[in-house]
Amino acid sequence: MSEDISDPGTTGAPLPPLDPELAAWFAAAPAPPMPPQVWQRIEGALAAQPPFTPSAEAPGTAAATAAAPVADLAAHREKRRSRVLPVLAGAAGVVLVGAVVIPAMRAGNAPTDVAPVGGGGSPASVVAEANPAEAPALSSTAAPMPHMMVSTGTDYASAQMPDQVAPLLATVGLTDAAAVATMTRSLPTDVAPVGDGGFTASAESLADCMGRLGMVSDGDAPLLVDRATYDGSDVGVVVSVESTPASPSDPVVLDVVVVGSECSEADVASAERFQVTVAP
Amino acid sequence: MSSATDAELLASHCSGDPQAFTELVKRHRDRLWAVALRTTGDPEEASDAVQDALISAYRRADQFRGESAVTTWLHRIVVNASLDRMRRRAVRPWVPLPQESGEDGSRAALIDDSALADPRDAIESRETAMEIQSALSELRPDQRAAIVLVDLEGYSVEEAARILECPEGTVKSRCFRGRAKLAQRLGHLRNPPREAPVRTQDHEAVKDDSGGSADRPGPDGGEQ
Repeated sequence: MSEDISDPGTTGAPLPPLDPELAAWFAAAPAPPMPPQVWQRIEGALAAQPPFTPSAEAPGTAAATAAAPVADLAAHREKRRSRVLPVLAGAAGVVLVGAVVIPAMRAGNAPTDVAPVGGGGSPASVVAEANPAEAPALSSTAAPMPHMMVSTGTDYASAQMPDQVAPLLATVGLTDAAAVATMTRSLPTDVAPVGDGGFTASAESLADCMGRLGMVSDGDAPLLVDRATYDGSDVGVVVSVESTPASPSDPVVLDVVVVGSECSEADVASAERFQVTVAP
Repeated sequence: MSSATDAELLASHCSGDPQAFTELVKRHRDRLWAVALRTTGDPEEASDAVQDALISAYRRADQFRGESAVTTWLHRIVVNASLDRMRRRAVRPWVPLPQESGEDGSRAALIDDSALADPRDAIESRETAMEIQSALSELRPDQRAAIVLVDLEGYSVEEAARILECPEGTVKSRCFRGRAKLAQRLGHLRNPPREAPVRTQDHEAVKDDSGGSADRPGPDGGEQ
């Protein structure tokens, strides 16, 4: 073929035409269009982004956003401790109501033995498989595992919570109370780890975190965990059902906990909590 | 909205139009996907790379200076995200296996079967696609990216140089050397036996057989 031709990169000659055989082989293997599920996932991730703001990233710092440094949430805690966020209306049937920031978590601190989880499925498991090829799925018998874990890359902002939760819920298909109920009834399936570190990177750290957040039984299993950033800090956004509705026609209230990515005792102590109501 | 140019859509996004960026990306998603898929060789990695890239582009939209086409800028971000994932993956390289191409498996998504009317063509093309992807995966990432852009996706050397942010001579050199390796690696496709033995995975995933000197840039940006 072309091994005997001098490298055009060093001679300055034009790049020779592609060898006909190589061209034929390439032509015989056309790349497929983007699969619909990939586009759906990307579209959802883009929809979950806050509105573009030029000041959000100064030139030269944008590349760092994918791996925002872990920062202490305590600095944010004080300024928001007693703030009552406005009542907000969400999209796609999700109604966001009372959004009181509650620094403290539930009472339970230590993980206790619970029944094993695994099997079953979730209605949005495709979306939930953030990094299925990266590592074995997580499963644990130490604490309830979330039904799904995602990494939307959303930069949640305290000033825009909880309305930023609505796109997240829409992304994973939790657009109404029935969808929440369906996911709640399903057994938590094994979930893939997300992120390069933090509490979502291993079964043990995830179980520890769920325990610290007071989720100690299968009934406490969170609906999802989203690894993202919050005011620039690396966090996990843990969404769980606060109260099961009495009837299918009732709305369902979700707890949204924003906890530092390491989910240490300090992170849990400074975690922020919102409530979101999903319409029937 | 649909009649707006790419640059106008990007400007609308920067002005707060919540739909503009998605509209822009929707126009180019298939080509961006193809580049990421060919560069990473893995649909899961490709989807993560494209998502990472597009979120980054969404946030960095005001950094687009108009010195190149919007598509060039988007491709640059996608290629960089793909190469970044390949670098991170280099510590445990993925070796493509023919038997991994399950019907709904991720490897099967490397080829567009719908473009082929005859099912036998689809099977043969899928095998060819797997061979090509396997061969591409053995190239150095920078050579792979150049080959993908120029020879598979049809970009000019000039366009590829803008996307890869390197001299045109470097693109030509990477294509030249990558082609030579591919021609050698894919030589058996010239007369494929009907019952070809299943290739095992004992080949090295990333092997530079050019004696080491091929990594060094040449005097005019070319690579020796």
